[in-house]
Amino acid sequence: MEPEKKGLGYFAIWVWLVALTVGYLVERFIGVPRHVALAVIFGIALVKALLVAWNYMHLKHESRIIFVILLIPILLFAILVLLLLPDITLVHRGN
Amino acid sequence: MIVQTAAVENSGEISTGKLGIWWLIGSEIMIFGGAIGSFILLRLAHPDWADNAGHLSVPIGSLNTLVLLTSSYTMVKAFENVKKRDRKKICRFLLATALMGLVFLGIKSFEYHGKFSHGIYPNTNLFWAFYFTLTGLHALHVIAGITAILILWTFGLRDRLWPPAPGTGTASPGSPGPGIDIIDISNFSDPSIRGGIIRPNVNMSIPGPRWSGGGRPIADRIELVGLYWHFVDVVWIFLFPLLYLTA
Repeated sequence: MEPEKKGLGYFAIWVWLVALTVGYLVERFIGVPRHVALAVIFGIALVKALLVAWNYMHLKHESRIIFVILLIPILLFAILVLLLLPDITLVHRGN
Repeated sequence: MIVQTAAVENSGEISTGKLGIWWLIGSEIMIFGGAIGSFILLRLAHPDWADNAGHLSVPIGSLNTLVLLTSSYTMVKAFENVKKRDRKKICRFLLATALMGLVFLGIKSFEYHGKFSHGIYPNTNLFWAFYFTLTGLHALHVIAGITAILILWTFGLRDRLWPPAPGTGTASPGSPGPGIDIIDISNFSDPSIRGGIIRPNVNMSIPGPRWSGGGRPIADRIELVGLYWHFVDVVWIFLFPLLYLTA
């Protein structure tokens, strides 16, 4: 793994992260519909997490084995949520 | 004399330490993933939790997010300076990272105090149980990260990030140091090699493990601690909107 060649690269990423965090607040002031707001909020969170992982954790330079190590728990997390989702949203809420 | 091939160093393969930290991060994803997944499911089942989330201060949570994001930047700058072998900057950035971690904990403590003073505790209801569990678990990880960073900072202050130059007792950039000396095994006149067996040279003076991490400089561990710290940041990136912004 090699660090960024340009020092500005890390700083630019930080600026993006800050801008996206401010984006949360802007979305709240604008007052968009709830479902849209939730999509925006978690979309921003996902982009921020990917920016940190890709650039600061240098995932873009890592080998496939690292992706495999990360993919397994992420898949298990997705399975946990997706399998229980119908039960929670349909049964637990009395639908 | 310890013989070690330079294969790992030169082939781009993953070092044991880095592989270990990624495994740790993988297991941490399971821990936080299980807790966050449970929260998401119960949150969907309880729309009334929005009232509880409304008690959380979005400005304070945002400030904490900015603090942690900035600490990730200073951490990656510390790692960048490892490659440049700039010990002073490494120490400066490590200290800045640790201080921002402490600021994060201070703000979080302020939030906790506010909740306690309003009679909100982990056993108040399920939402607050999740809130204190998730943020408390995250805070424990922040404390662990700060501890590791401060240990590295101490090594930096004592000039122990790299092996000492022979005879000087001070760190010398570029010197491989003991533990990663590579001998030419085609040179059978080497007194440490007899009968085809490579034997340790007992007369060699080894400074000890103060700077050496299994044959690798302590400076290499800044990358590993940095990976952990960034992961802690990523966890907060998801916790903040989940807890604060779904009111």
